[in-house]
Amino acid sequence: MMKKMKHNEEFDKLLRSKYQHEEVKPAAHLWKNIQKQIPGGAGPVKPWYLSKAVLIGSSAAAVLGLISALFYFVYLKPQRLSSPVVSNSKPAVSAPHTSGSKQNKTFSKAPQQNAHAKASTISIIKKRGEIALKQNKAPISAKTLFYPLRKEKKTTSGGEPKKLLTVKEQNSSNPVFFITPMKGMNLVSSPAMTVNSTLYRTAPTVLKLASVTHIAGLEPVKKTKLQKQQKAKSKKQKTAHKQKLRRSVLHPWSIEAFIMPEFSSRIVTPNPNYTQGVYTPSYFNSREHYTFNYSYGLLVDYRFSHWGSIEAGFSYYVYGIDFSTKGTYLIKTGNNSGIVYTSSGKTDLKNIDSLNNQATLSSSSRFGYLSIPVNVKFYPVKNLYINAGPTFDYFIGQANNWDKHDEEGDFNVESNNVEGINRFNISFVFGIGYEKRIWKNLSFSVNPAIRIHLRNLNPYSTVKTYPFNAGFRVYLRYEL
Amino acid sequence: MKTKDTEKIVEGCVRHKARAQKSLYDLYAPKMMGLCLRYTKNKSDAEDIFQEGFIKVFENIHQLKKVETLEWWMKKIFINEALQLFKQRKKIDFAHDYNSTHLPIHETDGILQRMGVEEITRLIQELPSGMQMIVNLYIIEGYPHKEIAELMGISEGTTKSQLHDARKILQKKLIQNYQIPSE
Repeated sequence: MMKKMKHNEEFDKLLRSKYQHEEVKPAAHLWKNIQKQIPGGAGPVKPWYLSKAVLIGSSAAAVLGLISALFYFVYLKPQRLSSPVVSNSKPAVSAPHTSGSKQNKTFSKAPQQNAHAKASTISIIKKRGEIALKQNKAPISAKTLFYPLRKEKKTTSGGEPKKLLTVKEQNSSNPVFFITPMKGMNLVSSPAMTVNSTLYRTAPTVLKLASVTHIAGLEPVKKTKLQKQQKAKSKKQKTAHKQKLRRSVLHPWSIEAFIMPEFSSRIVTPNPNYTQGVYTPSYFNSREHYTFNYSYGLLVDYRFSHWGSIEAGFSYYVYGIDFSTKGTYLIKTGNNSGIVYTSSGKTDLKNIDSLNNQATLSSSSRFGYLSIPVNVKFYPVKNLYINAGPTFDYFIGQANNWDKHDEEGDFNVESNNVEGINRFNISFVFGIGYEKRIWKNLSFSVNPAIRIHLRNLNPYSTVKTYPFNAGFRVYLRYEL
Repeated sequence: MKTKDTEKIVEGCVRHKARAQKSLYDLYAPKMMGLCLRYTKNKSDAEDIFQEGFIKVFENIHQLKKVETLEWWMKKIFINEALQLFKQRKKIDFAHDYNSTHLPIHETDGILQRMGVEEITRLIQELPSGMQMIVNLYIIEGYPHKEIAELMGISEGTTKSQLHDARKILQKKLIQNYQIPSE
């Protein structure tokens, strides 16, 4: 009895020891099945450039860039003043002054009683036209200049005035800023117009003095005939200029952020080894999934006229191919040759009219590109445009997953190999778009488009592959 | 595998990081597949348990208290899955009244030593399912009879007798199939 028990123990011990380092390699498709059902594991392990962090990070960077640009330019825009600075004071004209035919007018204000006037007393000398004070609503371009004036600017006595407006500040402790962004537009501001001069330096509140007609309490000097003629001429010129501006573009430069979801299929050229070509999605009796691709990026747009613009920039583009076949697949080729997928890989078969095989075959590939899109837009009517242009793609990597299951066994290949794919590719994009201004300088645009790859993806394959995608770009455009 | 590396993998799995999940799978999948094959009759059932087991591992890995016990914890999950399948089938086919013949028991040890794991697994798979479970739990995993009885919902006496019969069957098969004929 004891002997029997001892033997049982030995038997158990021996059996247990056999399984101490027991390992059996599981089938490849099992991991894929598990991956689909566990949290966070939807899909094969992607390379870093296709990882969520990079995609989210780069998207966030693009959005942040756009927001920064918006913030910067919006902040530089002229603000409205709640009330004109020198409108409620008593006459403070110290020395209306004319000088010959140039008709310089000088208005100076005496120290005023109210808080506004205390802050800064200014003298304004203007070369032509009447003077008035208006709030400026017009946008200022990025090239707006700021002149801090601490001393009175002298006007030229003859010829064309060098500056259209001169501001004299009597209280030197309060700097006055004088802005001449373009001819015909004069802007002036002082701390009297803002609460805080420090804030003012970075975010100036600006007044427009271009078409000033009246300042309360200031009596303009009588106009001469010549002055009237000049004024009429100036007005005419201004109207013409405005019309011209209206016809063309006020803001030629824009920054655009875009995202383009795309669905792709492929044009596969006939394999020279076959008499008949092999085309997708009827690749054998398989199913080619219309793969979801996408691209996003930043563009700079130059509107060279009211009817056209050109844009270029950088984008990140992911192109994918998903392919699967299930059940019996039949290979039929014209010259009785074909390809069969076996557990050892792809094999060429000769003199086979048809082949039946029960199998599940699936492959998934993702290609990452850094792209430079160039696009020309033609606006036949307002808000509608036709666009076309090349996109230059630089291939940065891929993630592949190839699965096959049949009675011969299973095999799975996961690869990030970048060999065998053209480094440079070029695609052509064309489409139509609709543009809508949504807020001040901000426009939104939807652009259904088609992208055709002009170079073969894989130069080493006998079957040439030219992907074509259909999708729509969504633009957010900020006019500078 | 260092404990620190395992800690990192577990931490990644808790945060549902795909790479960590793949690492854990690569690390333990062969061991667990072997276990699943031992507890089932065929490859298909083994793969079912294997998949379900790994899904449970990833879903519940946050409950793991000590990284050092990871393998033991995982094994327990897979064994539970096997037990569930065993109960679902409700075919607890124990071999009753096994007519034990006198076996030259010392010979079996030598045969067992020569045999590969795959062959032994095949023999275990050929056992009636109840016996198969008891052999796995008692002999290979080292579970006590009391716990096996609770897990399988049978009496302790039954587990003991079934284990005894299972040993006999195994030994008989070893001799019948693998004994080198004496010259």
